[in-house]
Amino acid sequence: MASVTLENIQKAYGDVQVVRGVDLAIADGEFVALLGPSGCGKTTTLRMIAGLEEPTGGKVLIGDEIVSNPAQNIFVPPEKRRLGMVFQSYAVWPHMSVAQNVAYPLKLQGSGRAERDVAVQRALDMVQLGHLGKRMPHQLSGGQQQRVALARALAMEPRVLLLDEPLSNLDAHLREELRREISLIRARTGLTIVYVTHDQEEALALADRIVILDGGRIRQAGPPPEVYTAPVDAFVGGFIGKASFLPVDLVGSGVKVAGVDVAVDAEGLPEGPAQLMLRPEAIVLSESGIPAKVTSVTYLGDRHELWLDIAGTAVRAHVETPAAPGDQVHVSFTRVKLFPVDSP
Amino acid sequence: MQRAVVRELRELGWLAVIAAVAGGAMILFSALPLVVLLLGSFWTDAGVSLEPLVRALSNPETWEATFVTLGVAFGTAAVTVLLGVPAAWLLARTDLPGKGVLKTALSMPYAIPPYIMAIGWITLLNPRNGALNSLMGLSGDAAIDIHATWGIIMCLGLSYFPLVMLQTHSALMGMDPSLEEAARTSGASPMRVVFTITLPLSVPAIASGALLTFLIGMASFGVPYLVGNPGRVKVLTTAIYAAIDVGTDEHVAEAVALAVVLGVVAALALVANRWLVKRGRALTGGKAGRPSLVALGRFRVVAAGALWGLVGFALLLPLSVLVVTSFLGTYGKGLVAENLGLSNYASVLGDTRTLGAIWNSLWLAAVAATICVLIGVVASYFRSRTTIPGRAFLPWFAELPYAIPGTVLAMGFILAFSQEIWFGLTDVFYIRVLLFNTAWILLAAYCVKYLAYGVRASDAALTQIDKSLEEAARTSGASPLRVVVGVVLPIMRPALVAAWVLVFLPVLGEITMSILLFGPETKTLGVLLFDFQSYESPPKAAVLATLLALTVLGGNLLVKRLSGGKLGI
Ligand SMILES: Nc1ncnc2c1ncn2[C@@H]1O[C@H](COP(=O)(O)OP(=O)(O)OP(=O)(O)O)[C@@H](O)[C@H]1O
Ligand SMILES: [Mg+2]
Repeated sequence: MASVTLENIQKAYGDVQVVRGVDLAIADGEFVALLGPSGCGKTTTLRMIAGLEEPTGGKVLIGDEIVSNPAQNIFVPPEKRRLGMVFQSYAVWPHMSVAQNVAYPLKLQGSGRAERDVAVQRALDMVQLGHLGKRMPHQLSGGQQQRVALARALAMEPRVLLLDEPLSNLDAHLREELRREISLIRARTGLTIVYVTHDQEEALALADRIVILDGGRIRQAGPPPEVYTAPVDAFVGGFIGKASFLPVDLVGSGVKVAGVDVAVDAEGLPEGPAQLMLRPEAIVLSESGIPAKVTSVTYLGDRHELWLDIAGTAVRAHVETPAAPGDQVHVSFTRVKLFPVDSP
Repeated sequence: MQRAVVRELRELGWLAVIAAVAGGAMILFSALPLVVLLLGSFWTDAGVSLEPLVRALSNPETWEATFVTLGVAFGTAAVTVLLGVPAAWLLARTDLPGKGVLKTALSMPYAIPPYIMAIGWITLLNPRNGALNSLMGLSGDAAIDIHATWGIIMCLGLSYFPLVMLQTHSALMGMDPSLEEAARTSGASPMRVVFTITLPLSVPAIASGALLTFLIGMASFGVPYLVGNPGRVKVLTTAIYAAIDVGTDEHVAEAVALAVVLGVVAALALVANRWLVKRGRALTGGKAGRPSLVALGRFRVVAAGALWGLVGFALLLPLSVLVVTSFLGTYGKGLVAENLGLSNYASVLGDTRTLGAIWNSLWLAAVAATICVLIGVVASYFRSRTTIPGRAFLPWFAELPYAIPGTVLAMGFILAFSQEIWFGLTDVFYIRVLLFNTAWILLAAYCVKYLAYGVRASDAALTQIDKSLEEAARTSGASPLRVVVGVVLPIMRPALVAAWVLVFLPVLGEITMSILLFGPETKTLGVLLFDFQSYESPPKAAVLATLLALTVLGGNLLVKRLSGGKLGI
C-alpha cells in the first residue's frame, strides 16, 4: 500500500485542456472519491495515476516514487506501477475462465503455481465467487463479472486500487450490494483507494474524502460531511444535494427574503446582489415566516417533496407533513449559506 | 392464421409477386443446376453409375489438381493472414502516421480483379522477358519464373490480404479498449498484451477471414489460369475449364466429376466458417471506445515504410507496369520514348469486336446489378418486416450460390441449360427456351452469384431504419407497398446505390463463369482480355486491364462516399 501524490498535473489533448492543474495528496490507506459532472476530467485524472494516460504537465508520485514527470522525462508505464484497476465495463477477458482472469496478474508477477492457486482462491472468496472459478465470463451476470474484475485487481496485492465508476453499469439493487462489499473489503485490506463516480450518494457513503472536480480543476476536497454542509461555492453546494438558490440583496450583513429577515454569515462578501443556498431538508413549514406557494407535491415514501414558489423562484423542499398544490404556506430556514452571484 | 397470411400477401401486392418470381427463379437458376450437376456426376447413358466419379477419382491428374488446389488455398490463406493481421494491428493500435490514407491504399488491391494484378506480375516476372528479371540481369535458368504454384499464391495473397486486414481491423476497433488496459495495469507489457489478449480475442475474426481467403483461393480461376497454365500447374478450376474446352463426352464427364469434388471441399470450408463467425460473436461485445495506442517510437518510420512498401508491391508496381505496357508500341522493344504511344488504345477502342465485348459486359453488369438490388430489397424486407411463412428462404438461399465456386455453378448451368427447356401445360400451351450461348445464361449466372450482395446491403440498411418510422406511416394510412416505396426506399437509397455499384463492378470484369458460359455472340470484357493476354497481344490486354482497374477504383471511391465510409475501399 502506498500514498498517491498529484502535483499540479495537467492533461491536454491538442489545444483542449482537460485537466488543468490538480494538486492532491492521498494518504496511505485513504479512500478518496473523485466526484464531478460528466466530462470534468475524473476518468482522465484516474488514468493518469494508472499510467494509461501520460500527463502533459506536473508530477505523479506513488509512495515516494515519481512515476510521471514530463519535465524530467519520467514516465513509468502502467505495467510497472502495480496498481489494481477496475473499469466501468468490467473488462473481464472473455477467452479466459474466472480463475484464469484472476491468475493473470499473478502469473506476470512470476509467482509459482501453488502459491498462485491459493491467492486466486483467496481473492475469489473475498468477492463471494469462490465457487465459480471454472466458469467462463459469458456465464456470469454483470454483477458477478464486476466481482471478478475486483478479485483480479485485489489478487495482485496492488499498492493502490483504482476504480472508474465500477457500479454504473449495474442496476440499483446490485449497486448497493456491491457498494457495501467494497467498503467491507476496504476495511479488511486497508487499501489506498481512488474511486471515480458521478453518483454523489456513492461518494458520500464510501469515501474518507471527496474531491469535487469541475472543468479539470478541484473545486473542493474534504470529508463528506464538510463538503455537504460547508460547500466552498455555489457549484459544490448545487452539485452535492439538491440545493436551490434564491437571489437576494446583501445589505449590511443581512438579507431579506420576501421582506422577511434571514440570518446569514456574510463574512467576506461584498454588499449587493448575492445568492442564498437552500437545502431541501433545511426548509421547514411554520406558522409564520416567509410566505410561499406550493406549486407541486411528490410523495417520496418517507417524506414529501414540495416545489415552492418563494418570491418568484422555484425552490425544492423535503417536508414530513403533506401539502396540496396551490396552498399558501409559510416557511423558515434551519440552515442557509450565502454565495456571491458570480460563482456559477 | 391462414387468413392473416393471405391478407398480408394481398396488402404487399406487387412485392409478393416479385418475391414469388424471384424465389422461383432462384430455384430454377441455382438449385436446379447444382442438382443436375450432382446427378450428372453419376448419370451415364448406361444409367445410374458411379463410374465417371470413380474414373475421375482414380485419375492421378485429379489428385494432383486437388493437391495443388489445396496448396494454393492454404498458401493464400497463410499469406493473407501474415500480411493482413500485422497490417490491421498497426492501423488499429499504434501511432502510425497517415493511417487513414494507408488503410484506403492497402484496401485497394482487393477491389481490382486479381487477374489484372497477375497480368502485371507476369509482365514483371516471366522467364522470357520479365521486366524485373531483365532489370536484375537474370536470364535463362537463373530467371525467376512466376509460372508456378508460388506465383499463384503470391498473386492471390497480394490481392486478398486486405480482406483479412479489414476483418481483423474491424474486430480490433470493436474491442472494448479496457480489456487491453486491464492487462496493462495487471502488469503486462504492450507486446505481451498483443499476444495474450488482443490476438486471442481476434482469433475468430482472423480465422473467418482466413477461411474466406482459403475458399477464394480454392475457387479462383483467372489467376491460376494466367499464371499456372504456361507452367502446366493445374488446379481444379483450370482442369475443369481445360476438360470443357476439349469438349468430348468423356472430358465433360471428367469436368463434372471434378466440379463435384471442388463443390464438396468448398461446402466443408463454408460450414467451418459459419461456426467460427458464431463463436466470434460470443467473444466480442462490450462497448467500443478509443483504444490506447502503442507508441512505436523509432519503429514508427520502419512500420510505415513497410506498409507503404506493401502498397507498392500489391498495387502500384503491378498496376504501373500494366499502364506502361498499355502505351507500348511494340511489346518486345522496351521502354523508350519512341516506342510509347496511344496506338494500342486506338486499336482496342476502334475495334468493333472489342466494343461489342465492352458493351456486353456493361449492360449485363448494369442489368444484373439492378436485378440483384431489387430482389435483395424485397427479400430482405420480407424477412425483417413480414410474418409470412418461408420469408427467410430467399435471403438464406441467396448465400448459397455466392459461396459455391463460380466454376462449379457454371458447370451446373452448362449441364442444366445446354438443351432446350420446355415449359408447358399441354402440347399447345408451351414455351421452349434455349439459354445456351445466349446473353441470358450469363445474366442468370451473374444474378444468382451476386444476389447475396443485394440482400446483405438491404439487410444492413433495413436494420438502420427504425420500425417505428414505418409504423408511423402505416398508422397515417399508407399501405405496405406505399410504405416501402414512399418511406423505406428513399431512406435506403444511398445504401442501395452503393450495393448496385458493388454488384456492377465485379460483374464487369467477371471471368470465372463467363469463360465457361459465353457464346460466339456474347463475348465479355473478361473473356476478351484473357484472349488478348493469352493469344493475341499483351499490350491490348493491358489497355483493357488499365481501363477496368481505373473504373473499379473510381467506382469503389464512389461507393465509399455514398455509404459514408462504410462500404467500398
Ligand atoms: N483521447 C481524448 N481526446 C480528446 N478529448 C478527450 C480524450 N479523452 C477524454 N477527452 C475529453 O476530456 C474530457 C474529460 O474526460 P473524462 O473522461 O476524464 O471525463 P469524466 O469526468 O470521466 O466524465 P464521465 O463522467 O462522462 O465519465 C471530456 O470532455 C472528454 O471529451
Ligand atoms: Mg469517466
